[in-house]
Amino acid sequence: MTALPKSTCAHCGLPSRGFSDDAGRQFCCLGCQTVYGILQSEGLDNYYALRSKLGDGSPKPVKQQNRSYAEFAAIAADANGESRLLVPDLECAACVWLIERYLGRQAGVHSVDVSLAQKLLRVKWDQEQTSLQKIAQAVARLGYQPRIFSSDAALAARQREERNLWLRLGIAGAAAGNTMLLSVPLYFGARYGIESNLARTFVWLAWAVATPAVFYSGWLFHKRAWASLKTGTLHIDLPLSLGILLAYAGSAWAAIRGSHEVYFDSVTALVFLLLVGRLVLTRGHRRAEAAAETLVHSGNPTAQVYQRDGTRTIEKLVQELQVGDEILVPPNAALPADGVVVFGKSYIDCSVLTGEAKPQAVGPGSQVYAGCTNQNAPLRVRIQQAGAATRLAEIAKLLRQAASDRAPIVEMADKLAGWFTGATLLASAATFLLWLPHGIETSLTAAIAVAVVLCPCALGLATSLSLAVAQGRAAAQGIMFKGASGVQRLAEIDTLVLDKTGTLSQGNAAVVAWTGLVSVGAHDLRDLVASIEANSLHPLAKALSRYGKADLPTKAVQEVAGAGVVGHVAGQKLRIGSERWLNSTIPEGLRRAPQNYPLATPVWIEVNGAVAACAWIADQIHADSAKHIRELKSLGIQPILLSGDRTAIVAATAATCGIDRYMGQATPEQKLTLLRQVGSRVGMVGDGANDAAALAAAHVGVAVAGGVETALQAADVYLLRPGIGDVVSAIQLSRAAMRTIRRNLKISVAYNTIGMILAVSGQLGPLGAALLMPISSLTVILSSIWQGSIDTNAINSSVK
Amino acid sequence: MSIVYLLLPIGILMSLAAVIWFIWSVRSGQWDDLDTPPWRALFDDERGETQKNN
Repeated sequence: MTALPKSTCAHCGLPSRGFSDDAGRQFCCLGCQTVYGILQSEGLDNYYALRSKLGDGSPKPVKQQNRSYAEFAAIAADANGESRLLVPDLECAACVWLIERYLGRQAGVHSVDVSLAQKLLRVKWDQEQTSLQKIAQAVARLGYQPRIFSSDAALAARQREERNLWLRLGIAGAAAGNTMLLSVPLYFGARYGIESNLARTFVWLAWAVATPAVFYSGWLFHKRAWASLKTGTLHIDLPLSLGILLAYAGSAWAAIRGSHEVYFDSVTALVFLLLVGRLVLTRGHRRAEAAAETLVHSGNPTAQVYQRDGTRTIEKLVQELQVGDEILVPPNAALPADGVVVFGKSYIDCSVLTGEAKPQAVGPGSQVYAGCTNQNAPLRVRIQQAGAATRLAEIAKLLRQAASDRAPIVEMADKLAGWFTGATLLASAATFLLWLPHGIETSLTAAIAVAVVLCPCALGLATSLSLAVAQGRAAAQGIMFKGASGVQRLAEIDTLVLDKTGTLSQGNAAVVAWTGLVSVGAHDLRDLVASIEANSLHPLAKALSRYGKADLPTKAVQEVAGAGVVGHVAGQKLRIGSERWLNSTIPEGLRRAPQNYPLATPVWIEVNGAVAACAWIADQIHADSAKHIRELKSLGIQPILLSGDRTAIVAATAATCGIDRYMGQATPEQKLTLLRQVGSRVGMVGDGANDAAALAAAHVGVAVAGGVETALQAADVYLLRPGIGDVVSAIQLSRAAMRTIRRNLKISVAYNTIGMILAVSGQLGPLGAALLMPISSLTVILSSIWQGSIDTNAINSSVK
Repeated sequence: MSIVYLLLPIGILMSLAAVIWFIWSVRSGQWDDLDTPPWRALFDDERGETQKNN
C-alpha cells in the first residue's frame, strides 16, 4: 500500500471505522464489508453505478442481523408457486435491480419481481429445490431485512378496491370519449340541420353508451349519496349523484320524446373527471399507508428460549413465549416481554416506554420491560408477563380507548353539500315553472340545463385534488399523511405538544460539550479517545467513538465494566471513565457542566497520568430545534414540552429551545390528561409508546421517524426524517392546501352561479353546458396543482 | 349518409373490444404497480449473460 488508506467506506460512503478486506479497502462495519464482497464475487458491482444514477444519494450502512429466519421455514408457496415477502428497507431502483439479479441466481428460484412502491418481493420458487427460509437468508445477506407478508387480507382488500376504481374509470373514460364523438353530429345538426332518423340513432346510441358509465362507474357516488340521505349526514356525493341522475333521466326523457337536446356527453365527462380525482386521492392514501407500514419497527418475531438443560437455546415465535420461560436477549435486541434479569449485566434503553433518554444499568434481579432495547451485553431474562399482559400492551390498550374518543370531522365541502342539493332542486323546479308558458318541451330543456350546470363537478374535484397534491408534495419531503383529514386537522391547530426524546432531541447519547485539552502532541485528543472507545459496546462509548475519527491504531485496551477503559494510542496512555476510575485528581476548572445540559454525564479523560479533558454526554437537542420553535411561534402556534424524562433535563431543554410551558416525568396517563386539558385544537408530536395514547387523543397526531409501532398506528402524520423541521413544513403545507381548497370552492361557486344565470335565462344549451363543465374543472385542477407556487412566496416572507 | 348505419355498429364493436381488453388487463394486475416499471427501462443488461425475462 502506497498512500494512506481512504477513510470512507467503500460500500456506503460513510466514514470508515477500521474494517478492511484483503485488498486494503476500508469499510465502516462488517455488514458493508460482507455485502461489498458478495457484490464483487457475483459480478453485481454495477449496483454502485446504478445507485448513484437512480438513488436519492443518501448513504446507509448495512445493518446485519444474525438470524436464521426460521419463521419462513414453514411457509409454502401458493397455488401459482409464488410467495410474497415484505422488504421495508428497499431504498431505490438500484436495490430492485440488485435483489432481482442476486435472487434470480439462487437455486430453485424461477422468477423474482420487486415492487418498489409496495416494498414487496414476489418470488416464484420450487419447493423441491429450496425453501422460503433460504430465500429470506439470501435477501438478508445483501443487507435487507425480509419480513413475512402478514397483512395479506388488508392488502388484498386494498388491491381489489383500487382495481375496481380503475375499471370504473376506464369504462367512464370510454363512455365519455364515445358520447362526445356521438354528440358532435348533434351539435352540427342543431346549427345546420340533420336528418331526424340519423339524429335519433346518435341520441339512442349515446344513451346506451352513457348508461354503464352512469350506473356502474357512478355507483360510488350514488351509494354514498344514498347513505348520506338515510343517516341525515350531509356528504358532497349527494349533490353530485343528484346532478348525474337528474341529467341522465332528463336526457333519457328527451330521447324518448324525440328531442335532440341531450346531455349524455356532459354526464359521462362529469363521472370521468370525478373518478380521476378520486383515483388520485386513493393512490396518495395508499402510498402513505405503505410508507407507514415500512416504518413499523416490529421487533424480532422470534426469541431464543433456554431449554430445560439450561444451556442450549431454541428459536421460538414471540407469540409462543410463556411466563417462566428464560430467554437470551442479545445486544441491540429489543426485549420481547416483561421479566426479571437472571444473569448478565448490561444497560437497557427504555426511552420508547418512559421517555427517559439515559440507559439504565441492569443486573440480576432487575425488572425489565418489553420494548426496551438491550445495549451492550447479553442478558438472560425470566419472563413474568408476556403478550397482552406486558406494560407495552397496556399502553396499546390505553391507546385504543383514546382513539375511539375522537370527535368526527365535518369536511368543508360537505358543509356546502346541503346548499347545493337544495339549490339544484329549487333552481330546476323554478326554471321549469318559469318557462312553462313557452311549452313543456322548452321548460323541461331549461330545467335539465340548470340541473346539469349546477352539478358541482368542480366542487367534487376541489377538495380531493388539492388534498392529493398536498399529500404528494408532502410525501416527496418525507411527510406522510395517513388520510386527507390529517391535512385539514393539521392546518387547524393553535397549540402543539412536543415530546422531547427522539423528537426535539436525538434520542441517544452524544457528546454535547468538551472541556479541557483538545489536542495532545500532533493529534486531536478527540480522535485518540474515539479510537480507544471504538471497540467498546458501552452506550457512552458509542457517543465518544462518533465524536472523533476512530482510525488510529490502539494497543493494550482494557475495559472494566461500570468504571472505564484504559489503553495506548499514538504513543499516549489514556484512561477514560468515571471519577473513581482515574488515578489523579480532577482540576476544578473542568468540573463545569455545560449550561444547556445541567445533568449531562461527565466522562473524564486522563492522558499519561494527568486529567486533561472531560466529555459531557447527554441526549443532544437537535441543532435547529430552537429555530423551528421560533418558526412555530411565528405561525401562531403555542408549543408545550411534555416528556417522561427527568424534570431538570426537560426544563433545560425547554429553555434552550425557547418553549415556555413544559412538564417532566410525565407518565403516558398524565400526557393524555394534560392534552385534554389544554384545549381542542391541539396537535401532538412524539415517537415513543408513551406518546401513543396522547397521539390518538390529540386533534392531530404526528409520529417522528424511528417511532414505535403503537405510536405510528395512533398518528395521522408520519415524518420520515428526524427533528421537528418537517413538522413546521407539514403545517405550512396543510395550511396552503386549505387555502387552495377555499380558493377552489370560490372558483366553483362562481362558475356555478354564472352557469345558473345562463341556464335559467334559457341561454345555455347542451353545448354550453358541455363546455362550461370542463372549463370549470380545468380551472380547479390548475389551481390545485399551482397551490405551491402561489402560496410559497407568502409563506417564505411571513416566517423570519 | 346511410353508410353511417354500418360504420356505427363497427365502431361500437371496436370500442367494446377495447373495453374488454382493458378489463382483462386490470384483472390480471397490470395496473397494480405503475411506479416500478418505469425504472426498469434504466436497468442495464448484465455483462456476459443473456437477459432474464421479467
